Amino acid sequence: MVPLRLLELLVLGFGAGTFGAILGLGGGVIIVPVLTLLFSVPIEKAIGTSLVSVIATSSGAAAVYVQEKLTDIRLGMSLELGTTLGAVTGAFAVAWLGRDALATLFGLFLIYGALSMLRKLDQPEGDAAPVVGSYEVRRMPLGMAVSYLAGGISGMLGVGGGPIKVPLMFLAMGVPLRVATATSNFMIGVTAAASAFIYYSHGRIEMLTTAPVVVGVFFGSMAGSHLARRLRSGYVILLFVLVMFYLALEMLLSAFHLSLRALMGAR
Amino acid sequence: MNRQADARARESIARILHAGSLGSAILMFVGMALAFLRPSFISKSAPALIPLEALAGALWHGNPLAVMQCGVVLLLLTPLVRIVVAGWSFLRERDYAYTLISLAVLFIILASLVLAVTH
Repeated sequence: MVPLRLLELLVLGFGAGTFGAILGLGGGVIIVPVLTLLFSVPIEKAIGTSLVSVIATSSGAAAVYVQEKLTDIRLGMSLELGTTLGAVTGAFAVAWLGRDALATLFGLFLIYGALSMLRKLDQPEGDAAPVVGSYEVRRMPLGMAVSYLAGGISGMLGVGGGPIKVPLMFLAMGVPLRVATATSNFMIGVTAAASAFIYYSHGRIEMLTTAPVVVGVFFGSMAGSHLARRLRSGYVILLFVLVMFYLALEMLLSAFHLSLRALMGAR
Repeated sequence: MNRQADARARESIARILHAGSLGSAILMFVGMALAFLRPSFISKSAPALIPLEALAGALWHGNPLAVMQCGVVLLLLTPLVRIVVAGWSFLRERDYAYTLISLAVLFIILASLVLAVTH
């Protein structure tokens, strides 16, 4: 029993890591729903595992070397004041929110994430390598407020928060896209660590679930970074969006103790 | 000269992060392998989390949960290392404002950890 489950978790991590590396997400967006729906892991422990794997994608990506030059550490650190406070709030709030509330919030977040991924389809990559500090950062107060929100969502749902942070910096604060992406990657790791410590001390990080998923994520993100150069990201995005909508539906239904698969099987 | 030092600093940060995350992946993998080989440690009555004081002893006994736990803790520490290194380089550049901000971020994380443990 145990070995098979470990293997399945490894595969889950690998898939999440691969998609995460190709699409620039943390992968937590798939990990929490699959762990909850397929592996029957209690949602707060699924979130704990997801947070650890988010740190893995943030710190362990092969792209870390390249990203370092593009990371606006000063901006990231300032916004981190907001996200860490938010993450800590979220991590403590989980104790108050019931599982159904969390499942509902997660379903809604998945829908938002899927929609923002669709927008990515028309956005150009931006080839020119921007220099950190060559632009003027605007709307800091808005940035702090939204960062607090992003941190809260990360702490409550175990996601990285990239789909919120990157648009915030790129669209609202005047940061070049590649700097925004790299800086977001830096911030995601710190934000996840902020809430992960709390989850750890509350016993919400299950070793037997977390270790295989994280190891899978490491291998997956290596594979994903290699594949990213060869794949047409358009198709991958569409596939991912479909998966996200499906998972969103299942998560929302599960909050009402229903399931799409069960409903269809009942025919 | 300054830009070269800056580039070298960024490279060493990246290397530290990569080493830390690789180390944690190895620990977790070894823990998983041990779980296969010594399923007796993975009983229902085993504690979900080994307290820090008992961790070293459990490692010595080859407890798979302890090995995995060390891997997780190591991974959790890597972003903090990044903050400390960043704060240190701000200090050396005499950028006191950002040194303070880095310390504040670190403080928030550590204070909340203390809060969580005492509750």
